[in-house]
Amino acid sequence: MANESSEEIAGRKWHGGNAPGLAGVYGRLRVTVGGKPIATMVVEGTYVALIPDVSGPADATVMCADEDVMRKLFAGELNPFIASMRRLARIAGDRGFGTRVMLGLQVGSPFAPGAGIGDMT
Amino acid sequence: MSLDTVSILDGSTFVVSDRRGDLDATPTENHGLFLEDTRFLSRWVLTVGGIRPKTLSVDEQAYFKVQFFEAVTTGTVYVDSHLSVIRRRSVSGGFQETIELENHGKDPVDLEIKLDVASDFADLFEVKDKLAKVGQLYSNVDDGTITLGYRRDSFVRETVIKADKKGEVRADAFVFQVKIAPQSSWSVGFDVLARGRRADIEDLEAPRISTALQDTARDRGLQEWIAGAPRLIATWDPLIKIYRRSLVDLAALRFETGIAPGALPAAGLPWFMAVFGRDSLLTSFQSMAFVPELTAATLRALAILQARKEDPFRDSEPGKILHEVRLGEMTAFEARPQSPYYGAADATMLWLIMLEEYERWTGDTDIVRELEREARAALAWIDNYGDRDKDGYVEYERRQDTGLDNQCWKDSWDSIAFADGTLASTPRATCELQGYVYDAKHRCARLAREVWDDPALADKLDKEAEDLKRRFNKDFWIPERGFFALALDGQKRKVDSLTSNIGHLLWSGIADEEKAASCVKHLMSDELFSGWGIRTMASSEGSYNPIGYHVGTVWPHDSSFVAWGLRRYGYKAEAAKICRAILEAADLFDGRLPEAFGGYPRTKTSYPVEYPTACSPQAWATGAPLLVLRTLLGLDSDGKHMIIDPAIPEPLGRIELLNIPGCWGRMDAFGRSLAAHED
Repeated sequence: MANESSEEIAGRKWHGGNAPGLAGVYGRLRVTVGGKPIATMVVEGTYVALIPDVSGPADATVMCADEDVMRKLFAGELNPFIASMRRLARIAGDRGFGTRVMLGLQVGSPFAPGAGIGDMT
Repeated sequence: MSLDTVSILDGSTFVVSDRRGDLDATPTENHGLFLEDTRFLSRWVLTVGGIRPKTLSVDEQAYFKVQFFEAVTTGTVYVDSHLSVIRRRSVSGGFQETIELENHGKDPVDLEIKLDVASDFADLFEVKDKLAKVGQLYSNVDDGTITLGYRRDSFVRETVIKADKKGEVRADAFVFQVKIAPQSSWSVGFDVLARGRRADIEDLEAPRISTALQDTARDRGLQEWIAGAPRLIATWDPLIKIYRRSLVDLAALRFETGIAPGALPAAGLPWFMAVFGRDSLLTSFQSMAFVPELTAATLRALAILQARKEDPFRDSEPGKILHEVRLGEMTAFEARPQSPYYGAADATMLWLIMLEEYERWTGDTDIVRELEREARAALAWIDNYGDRDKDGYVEYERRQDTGLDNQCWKDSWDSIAFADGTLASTPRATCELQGYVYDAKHRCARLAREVWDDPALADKLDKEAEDLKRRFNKDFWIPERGFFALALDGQKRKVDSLTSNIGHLLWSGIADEEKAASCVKHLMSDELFSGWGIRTMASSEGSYNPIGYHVGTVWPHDSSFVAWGLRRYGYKAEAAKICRAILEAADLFDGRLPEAFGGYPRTKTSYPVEYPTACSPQAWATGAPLLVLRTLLGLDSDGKHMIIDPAIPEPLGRIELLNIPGCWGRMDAFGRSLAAHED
């Protein structure tokens, strides 16, 4: 997969790129917002991207209460444990994989504002 | 737990009631239905005709179900009742309870049966520290169902209670007006569902089924768990009871995280039904020869939650293994840092030690390959973060006031003190941490050499470990007292108290032989050995208090590791003496050791004195008899074969442990105590 990508999802452009905390993690994470599937996060080691696929296979699903929660979670700004306890986001399916992804994005995320390689616009 | 309470549990869900079966939480009675560190029910009180029934007996059938046999009496000396009550309760995601009344009289009876319900939705920290709520409590009645709830922003927790018989349903009670014919009975069933953080997902994934069906499956699961563990034959009868109690309690404390396959041991009831790195790891070590699968689940879950970044609030640093995860309101709103909290300076080394121990015992090299990245991160943490000031020793100091003062196993505020009672300044480099580093590096050197195909790393780790040992034996030794310092304080002064920590140095192997010999004399002295086990702090020291949490009490797990350490250095008789003391204490606690008991000398008490707020069952106390058995039989693995080297004291006689799992498949071990002339 190329080292850069961008997709229009939920009215915004998301740039894929490097997430150093995801080294060794591989899989697909379905993303739902308010109960509606909107995208899939593809994780290939330290490369991560959001694609608009909502029906292909996925190892786990991250269910976000709203877009703001999704943005903060993917930017690594919202602790996934806090999000879970406050019912802002939950992971279903392979929760080990989903937890690794959410914790890994906290180290550095291409979806973080100012990340350089992948500011959300 | 208090002798006045009855507890049943299933994973992180547990119910603590009085011996009537009532929940009546007060600032001094920590009753309740608890899930995810939150109390979902604080009141559940049965009255029959305005009278609270009197308990006749309590039948604790299994760790997850209980029966209460009661009578409705007038309170006179004689139990002159014709009306008995049987309450059957089983816990799972809440609990289900059947209340059955039997009229043994010759006349019909008209009764009002009332069950008061309420919840304060207290965070476990609020229960413990008596704090007030911030959000809103509510209660709804709809279609015969009471919903008790609590809301603070998006943090919502609810308890949904349904009865299977029609009656009056109020916001705080179910009321039934019943007539029971002579020699007849009447019953009602209640379903209490605790809706936690994942309630909506669980509604979709796992429809609620009756506890009768669950109980059958859990009964079978428990029997399989016990059958899968080695079989014990012993001539000293109490040992059979103690062993079975340990296995059952360990089964009860199993805790599925949902993020890794299998179950790991939660730390203990009631305050610690959560993931604790240190507790789960040490319990895994203790139970390795019996149920090694606990270790695999522990290693994997802790690996997923390994710290990835610096976060002062959570004392998090890349590569560090967590201390504790909590899921209650105070953690959710970051009044507490346990999301997760990483304030344990030893857990990272213990995780590495367990990775090697598990591989050597089971031969499972796949897990060592699978977790290589995490293991390397953990090793890097030791040097990059554990050794904060680059003096060659791991030390700890909390980053924020919400963190723990002490980040070693003796984590109460006053545990690290000089002999005169003065608290040591921070950062504190406790001695056992250095032992764990030494052990972890040597063990990982073997893994690097044999599994990771990295001989350069192996050589580096071996060299670092030996260098550490050389420096440690110089820098921590107190020649005038003949033992190792408890710690180096912030000014690198030797904290000169005599404590049980020196026993952990034997387990690790960091002590030079001649220094170990001197430590053994201290460990077996009247100052440290109470007769029931090793005191956390010697009675000769300034801070000693026989009922001080970490400054004089005896912790069975601590004593079990000291005994294992004595075996490592060849002190079989001394190890056996401690093992015998622990088992005799366990017998007096009806087979279930509490986390700690008083450090009073055995010459003063014919039984170990209870510590007032000790957790029970507690995982590493439950594991203590298992490590004691391993110590008595001298069980170890060389990676291919089981090593058996028994040293059994009188009066334990003969011990046979059959079907011990390991890389050899299943094997038996036995040993017998030798008469004096045979020794």
